[in-house]
Amino acid sequence: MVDWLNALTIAVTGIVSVFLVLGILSIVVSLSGRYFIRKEKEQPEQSEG
Amino acid sequence: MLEQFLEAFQGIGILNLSWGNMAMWVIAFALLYLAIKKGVEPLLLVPIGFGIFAANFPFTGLMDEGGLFYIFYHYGIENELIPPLIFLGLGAMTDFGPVIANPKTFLLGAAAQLGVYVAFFMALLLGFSIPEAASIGIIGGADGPTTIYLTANLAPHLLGTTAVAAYSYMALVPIIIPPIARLLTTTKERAMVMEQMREVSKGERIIFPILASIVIILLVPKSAPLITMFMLGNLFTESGVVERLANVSREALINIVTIILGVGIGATMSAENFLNPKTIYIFILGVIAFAFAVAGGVLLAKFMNLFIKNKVNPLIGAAGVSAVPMAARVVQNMGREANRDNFLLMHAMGPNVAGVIGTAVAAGVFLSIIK
Amino acid sequence: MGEKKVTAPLPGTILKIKVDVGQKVSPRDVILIIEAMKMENEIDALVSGEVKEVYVKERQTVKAGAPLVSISIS
Repeated sequence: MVDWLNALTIAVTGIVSVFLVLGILSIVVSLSGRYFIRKEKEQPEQSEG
Repeated sequence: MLEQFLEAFQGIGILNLSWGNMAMWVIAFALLYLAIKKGVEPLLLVPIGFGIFAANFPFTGLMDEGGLFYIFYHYGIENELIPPLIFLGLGAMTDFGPVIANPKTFLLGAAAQLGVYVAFFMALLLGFSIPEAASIGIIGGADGPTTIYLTANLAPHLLGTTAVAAYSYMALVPIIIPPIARLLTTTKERAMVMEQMREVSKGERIIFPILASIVIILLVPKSAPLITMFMLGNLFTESGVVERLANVSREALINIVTIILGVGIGATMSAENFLNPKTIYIFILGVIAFAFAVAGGVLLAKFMNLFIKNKVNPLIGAAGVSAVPMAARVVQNMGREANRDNFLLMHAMGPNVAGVIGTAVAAGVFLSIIK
Repeated sequence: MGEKKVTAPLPGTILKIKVDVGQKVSPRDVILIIEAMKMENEIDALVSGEVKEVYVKERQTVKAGAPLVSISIS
């Protein structure tokens, strides 16, 4: 007999973890992206100065 | 003397070839035919097919403890060595640029794991145990090495079947994706041209594998074997200073381990493991898992569009099923069919590589709670 | 009247250039093929006119948005 409660726990943990990991990754990467874009914009000014 | 002669004679292979062996040969030849004549995943199906053929000769001892194929299987697959090495090569081949440029597509790679869990429950309903159901569900992630890694861990007796199912469905991506994606989108949605992607700097590309490792491994430690190798391979390529290591990872090494992996998997496919109704169920569940994965990706893309400014073409959600880069190519073709000036290929690569990470995470979670 | 610059819709390698300077094109003529991810992508002229300049060579790699060909619109 399948332990349905256990199965449900496994599936819910799985779905939540997948979205959590990729969601956080998405936020972290967009923040680092913003940082890099800003740095790139500053670069030409620095070389002039 | 006559008796001794008869005894020796009985050891001859041909008298001991069982019906089961011959049936497995038919399957081996069918896979070889598909690989050689139809070009279906030949890199894997040629070694797997030949492995099945060779392992089904009587008295070879190939799969007995200490036998050649046993060594391939035991040290390469059962010990979980080869799938991470394949991930090293895949990491060295992967361009994370598109997903770095458009990080929200990470979520599409997550949504496409829906198929994994749908198939997991359906497998349980059909009477599979929890570890078996997890191994079958992961087929829906459309990622061969991850499927093999998880099955070797949780349900080794199903290894041959899940591996063959995963690789054959990957080859069927061009047939499975279009009808589902078409059903869930309008022509207008498919025709939508996405804004051009920003350029991703070298620094960002180097930082990415490190940032990604931190986030993923801290949250799901059991995904570490696959994720560390994936990110290391990527760092080899993006750092630009170890071209030799990057090259050997994505070419020589991945080819060598693929041979051992393919033969080792084929060798596990004995008549009693393969010729039973479970195999048919697994193939049916595999295609259902795939279908729901596509649907999950497309539907989340449509849902995301309700909130975001730079809308995405919902088709790229379908590429969340990994199967890199076939799924992205299918998306490109579908987008172009709706609008000749629509080029979704690079946009679809974002969810495509995110799907690989998503599946590895899903496998890591299964590993940490089952058993 | 005017000029239209056709740009690369995706990054890749120029596989084949199908037009020469001075050639007349219509919107659905394929002017070149860009290979990306082992996939051949046909790029259309999008306007009718005469090819004024070709900026790329075969086998050259291009970034997304790079100018490929300019066409003087007729």
